[in-house]
Amino acid sequence: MIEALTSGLTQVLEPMTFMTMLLGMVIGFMTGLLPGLGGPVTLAIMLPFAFGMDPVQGFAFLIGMWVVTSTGGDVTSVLFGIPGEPTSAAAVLDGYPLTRKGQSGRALGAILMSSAIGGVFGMVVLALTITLIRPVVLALGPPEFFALTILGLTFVITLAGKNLLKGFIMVAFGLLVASVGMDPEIGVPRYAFGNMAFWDGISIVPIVIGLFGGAEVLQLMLSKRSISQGPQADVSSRTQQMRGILDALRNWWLVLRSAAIGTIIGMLPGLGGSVSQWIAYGNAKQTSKNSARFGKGAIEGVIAAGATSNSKDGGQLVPTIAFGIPGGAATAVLLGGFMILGLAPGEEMLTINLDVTMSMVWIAIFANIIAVAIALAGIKYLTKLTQVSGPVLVPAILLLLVVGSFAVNNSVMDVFVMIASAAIGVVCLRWDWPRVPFLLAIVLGGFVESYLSLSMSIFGADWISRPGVIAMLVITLLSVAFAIRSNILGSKKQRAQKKTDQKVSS
Amino acid sequence: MIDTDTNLGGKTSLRKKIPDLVISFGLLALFTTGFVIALAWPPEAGRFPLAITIVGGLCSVLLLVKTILDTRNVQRRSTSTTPGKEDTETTEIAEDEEKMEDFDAGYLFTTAGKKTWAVVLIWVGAFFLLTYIAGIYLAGAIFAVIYLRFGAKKSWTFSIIYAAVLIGILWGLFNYFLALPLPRGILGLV
Repeated sequence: MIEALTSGLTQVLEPMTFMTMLLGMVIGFMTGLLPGLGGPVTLAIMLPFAFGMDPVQGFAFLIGMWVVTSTGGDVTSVLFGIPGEPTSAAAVLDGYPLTRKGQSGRALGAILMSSAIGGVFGMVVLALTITLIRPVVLALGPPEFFALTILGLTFVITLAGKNLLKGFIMVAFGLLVASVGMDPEIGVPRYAFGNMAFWDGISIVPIVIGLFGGAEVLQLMLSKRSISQGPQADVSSRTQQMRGILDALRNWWLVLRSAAIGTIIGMLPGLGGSVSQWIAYGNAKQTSKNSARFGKGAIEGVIAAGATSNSKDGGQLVPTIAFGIPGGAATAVLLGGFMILGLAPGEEMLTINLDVTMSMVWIAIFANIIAVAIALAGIKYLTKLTQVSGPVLVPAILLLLVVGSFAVNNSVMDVFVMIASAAIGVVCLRWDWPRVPFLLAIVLGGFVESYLSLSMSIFGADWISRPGVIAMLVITLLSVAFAIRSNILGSKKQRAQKKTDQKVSS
Repeated sequence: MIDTDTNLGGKTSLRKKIPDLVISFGLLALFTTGFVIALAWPPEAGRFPLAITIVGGLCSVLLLVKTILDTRNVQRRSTSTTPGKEDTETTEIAEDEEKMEDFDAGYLFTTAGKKTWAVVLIWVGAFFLLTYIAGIYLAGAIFAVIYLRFGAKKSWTFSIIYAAVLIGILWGLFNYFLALPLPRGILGLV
């Protein structure tokens, strides 16, 4: 193991390999900044360039590119309120309000620091568990995954805030949207209305872009002010950055907890970063003393979202390397890279080619740290963009909305989906309906249905008595009970406060 | 939420509840339609949508009932007690300050006038229509020049240079670097 780690490090530090990694990182960071063009798309486009490279050099290019897309995505989410990619959507919720308050430097400092720690955490877990994890992951089946998605959905209670009933309605609405397309059992097209573009379901990317970005562009047009409306002087100062970095370090337990959630959920094939960010965000809100500030610029929300955005990568690589089962869309494309580079995931990667596996760990660690260091150095210039007059940014942002939603499937229908989602986002903001439960339900909807139908067809009704399922359902119930209790206590407190205020005024 | 007109507290509260009533009614209609459509599918394909639409429909009905009951209670309270102007003003200021502090998007959407909204929606609508017809490059260039000149009150020179740089970057990135197609519009000009 130590020998493989040392050999991996030596191979990564070879000048040509290191330079290739830096090239990949530049491409990854630039495309990460563009909404819609996330890790999977970037990898798919750049995969052919890995032909002819030796394995470590090829992975330096591909993994270096992939892991920094999340960092770029986080920057766009915080500065412009448009998720750079779906896995950065949670960063918008608190990162963007901080930018509006003139604290983009602090938000970026916190998110970049937590994402660097999260990224390194995920890779350390990968290095330590890759040879041991096989029996654990194989013990989990569709019933456990179903229970886990249900656990994810219960965080809706936390994310819906005081509007629980509205939260549940938005979840149902999201699940209904997720059920568009062919059903997973017999392939009947549902709610497609004869349009073949909907047979594969509705893509999550245009929904995320519309739901968050559409509302923000309208805000800029209505207010005609710059994105940052806070005090001008210290927006991009080093003090602000340091404050954000210290925020992340001070909340080290939250960073580690969110990174662990990102890594563990990332390990579960199919679930990926879109789910883990919401679970980590919901958990951060549930356990925070300032839960009322979430969604309005809570630094804990930014930290939780940042820590999961890069830690999921380490988790996703575990099943990809150990079994050849991709943890998410990006790792599915990366599997193509294995073929191109002449490697077979599975036994070989854990024995003969363990040094190549460990080189992947080092590449991701270096890429994470370098990308964050460069982004931190460039914050000063990046945050200046938020001082630019709002109307000047409008044409560029509108173009990004269209390009981001179109580029995923090259489909005009996705642009219409983005426009519809933008309308939903505006209605939600205007009349105080929660957006996040809707999005979370769309992300989880497909998983819920397919895991349930798989569980039923493989295990019949017995799936519910599996120990893993029981354990996760108990956690789900406890989580619901805890949230309802907090909600009731909060309402009681509010009522008591109102009564006291009335007495004082009379 | 504090009523702007204290003497019309009940009516204003009722008015504030109307959007909730309309949205929940709209979603109830959506769930009902979804339910009816799903009835026609085989059980394997229909059971998940059926379950969702039933739960969503029930929650919508609950919200409708709750909103109506809340509205009635508010109306009853407003006829029995009219809030003191001074108290209301104090709370109103505190709440406004809190909203400003939070840079609440909902606050901006609520306070923007109808004319402002109409102008913004016409701009956005025109951009998407133009994109649909002429494609992203042409629409982006035309929209950038016209919006910056008349919407943002920038000079012609600034608007033209901005549009040229923006479309140039987009063209270079997607045509040469990424080799990805972008919407060409129904006319297929560019």
